[in-house]
Amino acid sequence: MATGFFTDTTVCIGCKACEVACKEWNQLPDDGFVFSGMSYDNTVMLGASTWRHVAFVERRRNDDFSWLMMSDVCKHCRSAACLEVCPTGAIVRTEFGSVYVQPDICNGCGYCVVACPFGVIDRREDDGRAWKCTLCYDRQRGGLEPACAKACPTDSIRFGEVDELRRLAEARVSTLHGEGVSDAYLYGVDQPGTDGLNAFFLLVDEPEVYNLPPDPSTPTKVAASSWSHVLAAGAALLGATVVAVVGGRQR
Amino acid sequence: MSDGRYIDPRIGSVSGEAGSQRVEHIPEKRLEELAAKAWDQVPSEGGRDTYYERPVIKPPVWKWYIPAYFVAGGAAGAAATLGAVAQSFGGEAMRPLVKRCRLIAMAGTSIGTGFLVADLGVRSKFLNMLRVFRPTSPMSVGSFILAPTAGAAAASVVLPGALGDLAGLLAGALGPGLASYTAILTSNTSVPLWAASRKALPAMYVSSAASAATSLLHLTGSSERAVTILDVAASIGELASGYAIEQEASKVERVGRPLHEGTSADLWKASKIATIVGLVLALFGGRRTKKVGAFVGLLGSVAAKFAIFRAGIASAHDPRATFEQQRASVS
Repeated sequence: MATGFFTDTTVCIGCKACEVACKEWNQLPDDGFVFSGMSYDNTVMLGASTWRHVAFVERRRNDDFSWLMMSDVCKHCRSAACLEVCPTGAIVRTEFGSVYVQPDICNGCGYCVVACPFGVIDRREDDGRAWKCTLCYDRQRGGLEPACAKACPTDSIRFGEVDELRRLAEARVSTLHGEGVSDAYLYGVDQPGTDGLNAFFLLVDEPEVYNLPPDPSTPTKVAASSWSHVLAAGAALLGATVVAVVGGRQR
Repeated sequence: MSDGRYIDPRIGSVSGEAGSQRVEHIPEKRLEELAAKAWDQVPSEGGRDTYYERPVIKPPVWKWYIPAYFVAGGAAGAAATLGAVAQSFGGEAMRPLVKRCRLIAMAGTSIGTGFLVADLGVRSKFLNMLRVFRPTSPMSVGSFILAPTAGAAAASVVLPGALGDLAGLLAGALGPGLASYTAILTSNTSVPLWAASRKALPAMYVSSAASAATSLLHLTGSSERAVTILDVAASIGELASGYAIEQEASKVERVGRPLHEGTSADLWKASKIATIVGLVLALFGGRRTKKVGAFVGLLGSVAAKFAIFRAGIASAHDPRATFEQQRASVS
């Protein structure tokens, strides 16, 4: 039984309570304070010390102004690139179906950073290890919901069993369609490249607008074909070497 | 200085999920970058199709150690292979070549391992690389290729007679794997350019590995015909697979762009020129010019691996490369 998040961006008000609750509960250090010029988004991105990030999109639509907000988080992919490429076994799947990095095992090789199709996990330079959202593993062990979902004042972040969340989300999309918000759709529920996300989203514009990849895929999906090319290249090297040695023998 | 947590130790304890995260400084580079960009455009103006030009994926944190390892490990793998083949089919006449191959294999694997350890965020935990075997991780598979190859290569140099030969054969059996697995290590990522060139990359890496190994052999005094034949084959392989990579990566123009624009493109071009010069000198040069050719060829194969590395990082910084690549495969 997997738990996850359903983040309904249509009711997000951009208060960043989730960001603050996450930092506070997990005792994450600050990232420094700077004025980014990116609307109200001075957090800018998810990172080793930032496990929730509220994106602010300012759009011009039909000569009118529209504002989109979305609280981004680790997607806890069912087929997780970071976990699949981790060579140390530091990244594991927990009993809650979430993807968890064990800090005492991670040696900071950085492979998960390039593997993640969402740009979620990152290595902190002064710490040396990779970090990301744990889906509040400690709180879940204690029977509590994650800090961000607890703090969200509009229930834009809903926590629960993934199957239950999915029903909720589909109902919400129908409601929105009925109210005339025809752009509403679910992002990540049945994503072929990741086998679906345990933390999925309700969006009202293209994924790119929120800085989400339109068709992400864990690199491992094409690994068999990639390995076949590696084997062919290795065989070619061996073949060329044999030809060179036999052909180069002094007669 | 403050650790950025603002927790009064008299009142609270630091035991949360990120409590052990070490903070020595707030990432200044990021702050400078952001401050420099602030308000260069009113957010709601202009036809933006990205999120404030921010990358979608995280650009690699790998430093120059990684392409340097690709060069050292590749040369070692190719040298180990040549050494084993020469010892099996080359007869007595090739014993000096076998010896040099083993030395290069030993040096390459040990220097290469040094590069890999140097790139780790927590160097003291490098042995965790052998903690589990994960077939879905090319880095895990590679660790289990590199470790025995390094051991066998060292044993082939140190051990006498038949034992040394046995170790040489073992290193040679693993050599092709060592020279080629780094290609899938590179392409099995979300970096647009690397992922796009996953089919041509292994041929490129293997050719470049063989070229580096034969160049080193020439430079250390090997003038055997076998070395020249392999050198010529490797150089032709480098040029052909380089072309194939450009074709593969440029299926989506935006993805392949770093091979045509910027410092990675300059490096890429330089590598091609160096490979051609090395090839011409290997084919038509005299004794001395052949050595010059070997040196230029070595530079070419180093430049090629650094060019691919840099080009991948550039493509990771470009959100449109990620978007357009994925949109192209959707439709």
